[in-house]
Amino acid sequence: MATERQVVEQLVHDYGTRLYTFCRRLAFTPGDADDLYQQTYLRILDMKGTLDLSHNPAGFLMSVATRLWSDERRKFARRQRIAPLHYNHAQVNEVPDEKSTERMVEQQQTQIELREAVQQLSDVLRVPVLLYYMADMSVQDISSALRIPQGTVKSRLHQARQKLKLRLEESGYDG
Amino acid sequence: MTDDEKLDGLLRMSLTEEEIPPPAVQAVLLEQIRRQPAKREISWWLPTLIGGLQTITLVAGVNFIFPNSWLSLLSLPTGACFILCSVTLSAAAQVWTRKERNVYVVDKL
Repeated sequence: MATERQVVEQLVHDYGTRLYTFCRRLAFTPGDADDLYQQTYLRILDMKGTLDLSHNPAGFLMSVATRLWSDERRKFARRQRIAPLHYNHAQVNEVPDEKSTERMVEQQQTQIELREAVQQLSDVLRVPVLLYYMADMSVQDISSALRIPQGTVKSRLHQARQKLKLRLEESGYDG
Repeated sequence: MTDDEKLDGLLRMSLTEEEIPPPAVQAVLLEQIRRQPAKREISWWLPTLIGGLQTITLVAGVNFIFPNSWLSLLSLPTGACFILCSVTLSAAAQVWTRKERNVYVVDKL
């Protein structure tokens, strides 16, 4: 039994930051992300003996997190209505105000806007985007994780990209 | 580089900007993992074996109470049939759930 715990602890050390980042993007508030992060590892612990970590462990962890989030989506959605997530725009101001850093500031601003835009996508579009870009999961893997056809995954990714592109263009991003 | 590729790169960069788990959250999690009570998992065939033994006992009981009757004659094939069914169903369930666990899926999306 100690061995499984050690495996999970190792997973916490190896993929904790990536999973936490994913949870922050998936859940709406830091509190929800913390809960989701912890629940994911505890669920993994319950799954001992059935773990398949040979192929993209980070993707596997994120799939479990997505499942948990999906199960408790109503709870999280309710909390989000009470305390909507706002990204901390102050971090842009932390960059030194020099001319050479202007481009960097602009890029950071774009990244923040993009993150917000992703956050505002509907769940059906947001989840495939997060799994595709954050977990490096293939369309096929996302398709089996979400139990939807590969064509649907492709279409949702395409729709999401179009919406994000439009949003960026509206805010003055020229590529 | 096309616009789509640029957007892909930007998306990847902005979404994967790392956020470190708060130390308190991490500490609580590790503590929970270490404290998680060890669960005893019984082998899948154990309930089947117990069920089979119960059936054999029942059949033996019927034969003891009503020897050489229709009931005792019927109880033998019926009991055998029950045991066979339970073994088959248990094995099938085991194979089925193993498949399900290996592919940890997200539904209802």
